[in-house]
Amino acid sequence: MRGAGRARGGAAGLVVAVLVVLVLGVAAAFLVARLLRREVVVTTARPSAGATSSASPRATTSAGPASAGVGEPIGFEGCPSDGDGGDRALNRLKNRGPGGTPRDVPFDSLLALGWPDGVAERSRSRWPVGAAARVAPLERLLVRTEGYVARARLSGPESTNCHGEDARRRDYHVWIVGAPGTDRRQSVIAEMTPRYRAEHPSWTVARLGTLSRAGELVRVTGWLLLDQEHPEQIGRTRGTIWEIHPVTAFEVRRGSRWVPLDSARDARRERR
Amino acid sequence: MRKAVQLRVTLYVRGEDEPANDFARRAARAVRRVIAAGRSAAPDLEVRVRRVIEYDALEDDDENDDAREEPGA
Repeated sequence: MRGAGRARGGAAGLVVAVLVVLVLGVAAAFLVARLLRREVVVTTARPSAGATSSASPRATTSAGPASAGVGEPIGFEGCPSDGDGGDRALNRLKNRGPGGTPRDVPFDSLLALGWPDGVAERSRSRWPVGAAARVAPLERLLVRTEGYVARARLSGPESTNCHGEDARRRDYHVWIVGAPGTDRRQSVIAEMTPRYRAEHPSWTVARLGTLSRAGELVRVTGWLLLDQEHPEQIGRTRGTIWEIHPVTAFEVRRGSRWVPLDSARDARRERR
Repeated sequence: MRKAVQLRVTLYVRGEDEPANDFARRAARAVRRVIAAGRSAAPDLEVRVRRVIEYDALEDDDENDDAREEPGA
């Protein structure tokens, strides 16, 4: 009898212990999940010029994967979202639609982001196993960063825009730097695509040039994108192959406020 | 003496096409045909096309005369 009682007591103790462990495990998992969701962007070692980085970019986002309708690739005036050739997966990313709430990321963090080995100058369909999975969390980020316009110009015809020759079917490349007067070798390229340019007629090269010459602080919002096609330009005309592409919003600092470029008057005129 | 040189030539090809058609591929084929057709203009030289790839002119923008500022800018 006494033995049976001890056995029953032992079994009950075991059940209680298992329950406690389960509860603690669930609580720990919940806490870890909460902490991970708060993590924003983790910078990695900066790659040397012209070389890929062995550092692994990693990021988590509370935004999670782009939900339907948010950041979905969108065509423009007959040109499908994957363009007319080239790296179609890359083209789809370049033609993403508006996103949700942007994540503020310091300019230097963007510049310091690394990327997996074996992706540069290689079509995404031929990336090494696991590379896309390491890049994808970052590319799901709608980022917003502050900086200065170093230069802006109209790009050439390219597959993402179905090789449209007309100026309105091409991108603007905007070189963003961390401080006025900084060379483009330390820049992050932000691209204004035809679809967004059509919605923002005041986004012009001339206007961006004025901002550059005036050394005005700007805030750029857009999708983070690894444009793997031009690593050879690092240290020449760009500081990284990470881009903000497409740009979804562009603001100018006016006093203590951020004003959309569409409604921002020239600062010099405002001072008069 | 026998000589050889590798030349990098930048061509600009334009034409009408459906938006979704692969224009780069079509243009590359056309360039090969054009060069093949013109070989007779220099019969004393052997001219071979080694590679035709799309070139993103912007990336060397200081030497690029097509990625110019938008008209009127």
